[in-house]
Amino acid sequence: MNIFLVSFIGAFCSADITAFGQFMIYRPIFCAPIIGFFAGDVITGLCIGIISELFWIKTVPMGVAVIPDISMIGILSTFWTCAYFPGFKDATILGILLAIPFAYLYRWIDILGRKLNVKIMHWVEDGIKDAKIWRIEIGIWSGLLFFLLRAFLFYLFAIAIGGKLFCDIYAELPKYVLSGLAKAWYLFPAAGFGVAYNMTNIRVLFLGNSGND
Amino acid sequence: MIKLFIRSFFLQALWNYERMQNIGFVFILRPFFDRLYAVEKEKKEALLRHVGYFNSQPYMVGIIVGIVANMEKKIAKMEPANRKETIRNMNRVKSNMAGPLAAIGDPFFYGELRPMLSFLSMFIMVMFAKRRSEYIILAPIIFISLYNFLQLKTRIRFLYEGFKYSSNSMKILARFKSTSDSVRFGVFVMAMAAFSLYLAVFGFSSEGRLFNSGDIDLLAYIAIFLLSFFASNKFGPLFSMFSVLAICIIMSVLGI
Repeated sequence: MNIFLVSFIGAFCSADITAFGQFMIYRPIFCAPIIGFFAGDVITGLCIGIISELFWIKTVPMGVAVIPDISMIGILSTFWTCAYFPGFKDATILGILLAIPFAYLYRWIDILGRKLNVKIMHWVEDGIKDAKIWRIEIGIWSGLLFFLLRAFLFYLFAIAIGGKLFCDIYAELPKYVLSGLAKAWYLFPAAGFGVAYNMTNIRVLFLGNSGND
Repeated sequence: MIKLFIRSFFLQALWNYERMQNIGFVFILRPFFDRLYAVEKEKKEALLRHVGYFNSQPYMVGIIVGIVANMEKKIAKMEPANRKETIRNMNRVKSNMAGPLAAIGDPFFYGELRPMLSFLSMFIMVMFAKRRSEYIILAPIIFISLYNFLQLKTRIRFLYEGFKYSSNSMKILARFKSTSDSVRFGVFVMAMAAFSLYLAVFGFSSEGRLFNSGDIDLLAYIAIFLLSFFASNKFGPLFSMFSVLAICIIMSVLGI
């Protein structure tokens, strides 16, 4: 699967978090299997989708919160695994672990992008004052375009650099670590359900209203 | 109204730290103002009334758009000298509604409806995975279709009711409470069903065999679930993930 196409799909999924629509295509449970489908390994995509969705089930952009780009965890790990080690359970888990820093790094880039939006917003406001109402459209489209562009470029960077790291690390890992990663493939969903139960309102049944909310 | 509906998808395209969704809100209303005000100066003033701070729930913002559009229609018919009080009222309604709508909508859509459909999707995935069916790809499609059917329905209904009933349309929110209770119960049921099926497929069968005895396998799955449940309560999901990974590697080192 072409890295430009993956970056393009990834950028659209990232934009769905805040910038456009909120159709939930950014959720790993949707985007990871879709990438897996195009890359010819749906099962890997589904597995990554379930694990990522469970661990980050409460990661949603509520209010002013800027969340780590969890679509990146699903898309990058599915792409790396399908491209380099299709069907390898240990590589699947390594892919998820390696994609996490990229998702958190992109959050900082996203925050910088929103600071740039303040400048565009003032430019639009000044435009309305000067009867240049067309600036509203330009402002909105440029906000969306910058969002897509930075996500697209970051995906290209992450796929290339991360892919190289992924292969190198996998080749260097001792056998017992690989065996541990393969065990994690079975146990991560159980752990994910634990996290998900805790993060959703089911927690109230077990722990009352105290907790990490 | 169709134009306003389509434009509502762009509410957060220029989301910013200073005034959040302000330009998005102005962008939604712009075609309405184009029709309402023939005089450029009046249109400019109307747009400037809405560039202040605004932040609400993207799916439910339609109700505010509808009410504001209705009030703007009244303002447009008034003499410029008599508009002050109505403008003040409109701004009050807008700012008073934005917060509560977000407080209702965000937990409902993101905290209840989406997790419920995620669990449903997982249940279908595990079920098809057990049968090794090629229809497994339908699971994420069902998730996205159901979620978007409900969120699009809410967007359309709220915009329509905002337009039609203006400030009386807030009654619609009362109906949300009963829906929210049902969905909360749905999250619980679907989460239990998905986890039970996962345990049945991996904990009891040879597919998820970690140890030689199937009973120990099931215990390991439940122990990991409980560890993760309590660890994430105190330290968050990433801590849980890396703790489980460390346990898996230690198991491998020990040859278990």
